[in-house]
Amino acid sequence: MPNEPLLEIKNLKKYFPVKKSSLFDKRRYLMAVDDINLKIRPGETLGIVGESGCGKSTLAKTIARLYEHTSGQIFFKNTEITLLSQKQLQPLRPKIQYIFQDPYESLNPRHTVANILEEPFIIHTDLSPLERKIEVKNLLEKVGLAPDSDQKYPNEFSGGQRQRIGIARAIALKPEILICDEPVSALDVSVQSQIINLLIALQQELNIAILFIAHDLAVVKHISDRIAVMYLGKIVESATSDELFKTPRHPYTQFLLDAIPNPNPAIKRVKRRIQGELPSPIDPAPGCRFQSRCPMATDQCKSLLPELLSLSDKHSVACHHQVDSVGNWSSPWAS
Amino acid sequence: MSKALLTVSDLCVDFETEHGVLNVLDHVSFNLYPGKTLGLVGESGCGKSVTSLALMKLLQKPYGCIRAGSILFKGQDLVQCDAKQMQDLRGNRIAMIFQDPMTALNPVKTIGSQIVEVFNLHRQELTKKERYQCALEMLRKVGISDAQFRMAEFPHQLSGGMRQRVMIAIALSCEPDILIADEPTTALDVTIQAQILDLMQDLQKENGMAMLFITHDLGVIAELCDDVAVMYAGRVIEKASVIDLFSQAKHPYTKGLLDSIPQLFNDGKGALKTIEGQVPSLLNMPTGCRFRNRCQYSQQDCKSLDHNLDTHSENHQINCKHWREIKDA
Repeated sequence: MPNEPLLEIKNLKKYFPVKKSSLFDKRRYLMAVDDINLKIRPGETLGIVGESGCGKSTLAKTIARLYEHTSGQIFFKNTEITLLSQKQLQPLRPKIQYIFQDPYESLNPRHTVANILEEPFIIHTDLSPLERKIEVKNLLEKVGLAPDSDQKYPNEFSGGQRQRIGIARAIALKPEILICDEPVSALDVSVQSQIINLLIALQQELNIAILFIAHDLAVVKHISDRIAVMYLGKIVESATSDELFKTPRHPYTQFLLDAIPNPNPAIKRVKRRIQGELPSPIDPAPGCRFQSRCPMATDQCKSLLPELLSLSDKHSVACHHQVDSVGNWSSPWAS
Repeated sequence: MSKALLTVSDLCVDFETEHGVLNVLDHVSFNLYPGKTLGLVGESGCGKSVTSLALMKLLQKPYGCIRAGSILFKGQDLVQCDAKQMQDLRGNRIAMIFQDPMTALNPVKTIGSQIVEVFNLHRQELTKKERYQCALEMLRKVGISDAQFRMAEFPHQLSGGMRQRVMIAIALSCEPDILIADEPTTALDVTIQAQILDLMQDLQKENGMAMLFITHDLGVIAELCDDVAVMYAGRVIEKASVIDLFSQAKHPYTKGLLDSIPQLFNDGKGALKTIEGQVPSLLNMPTGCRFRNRCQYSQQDCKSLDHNLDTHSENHQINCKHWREIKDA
């Protein structure tokens, strides 16, 4: 069934214990990921946006089980991967792959490109050395690098080319889901567009689902089918990307969209600005996480945490005032 | 237009490395006007930051040197100034904000003492108490709450946005004529970036300083700047007012750069336009036009292009032989 989710996350939590200042203090927790539900269907791109410190990367790492979760469930094709040991997880690893932000740090500087790209095949397949060599050349070609560059070291490549190597390594074993944690934020604009095009082309060719994390909203909008907005460990709004940019409901989403610098100097608009900065995620106050910066906050927001409610099958939002918030929004991009 | 406050003409900067001499800036020219902001945009390695360092004469010795050109500031050529003269100007008449506030601030000195330091250097006529009061006033001006309390804190106790506000306070404490901002918001989130850009604009309105704003984000340029200079591989390849640049860019590189930003108001995910290839290495720069090996319009005579800018209108200049023949897509 096409609508069967490939990856499903139920009530996922990841808390980090905070060091106690005295032996008798109560243990406090940093709630990096707090009760998150998500679904990703095969071949779909889900974008996750939010300010730094909102828990985007922790979420990605927890899904890949690079972090152990605190509670909740993660299903990959109906297998509950949160129950598996790291060893039992091994056969599933090729299906869930990761692309890291910094292509300078995620490639071993002492290995040649051939070594780097061969490694997945050595671990997970029983191909002969010759077959592996052919696979490596194929991969290089697929990501737009010269097949004869396999004996070079990472430092001989530019940032964009290194990110291509990272992508080649991730797609080596035909994954079904790619987790991309800020894959283009270290790159220049003209190179960034090359990498985005490559990701979209590979996704269509191999039918990979992508979990795309970035703080650049224009990039996320371009690549994603659906977008989830995170704030302090919670998803505050999720919608199809067109819908989110046309009718954002959560006040935070509206501020976030308003803060994007608009590459069109002809439009001079009155900008609404969010005040203050992200509060500490350590033991947040009860009620809505956004209440400290929200202009619409009432007493209800201070006591009761809003649930993520579906408005339609395309749009859900977690705000007590989502009905009133519609009037606050006028699209800065309306032509 | 009013008289230029700072005139940079034909600035050339070389770096000596073990691989040979790198021609990092090649005949860069631009003007800064009071109360106006010039945006300097380009990809990494194009010489944006070197330009700002050269203006402040902070190029790392003995590797970097200004080979030719002049930087005229109020009738004084900064290239000829000695270290003592530059020290009087730096932080006083010309100030700078750096990209990463964590490395630019001193981690073992309090915020307060770092602001007071500026007054110690440039406002020695003030008493100690007055200097402290001025520093406090500056912190309030850049929107830091609890200024008195923050004065005694160290940089690591502040968030990224707050640190950048402190950097701005330090830079503006002597009310400089020129503020050079080198990617001041690149390390910040969009919401904080918006706050900082608003603050810089407000402060500029207040004291009418000229601003040189360096960034690779074209969105920020569009929001903040009056004029834009686009740099590529050490050359300014197009100069225009911000409206002209975004509506009628002429140089193929500028066009490519503008086309490669994902648009917010378009539906669907078609392929983005890209500029094929990469910036050539400074060691191996093509003769003539430096963009020609990536340019789809390049012709035989591009090998002999010089650094002069061709004039489209008074404020719009292009460094390309064939810009008239390139049709808008």
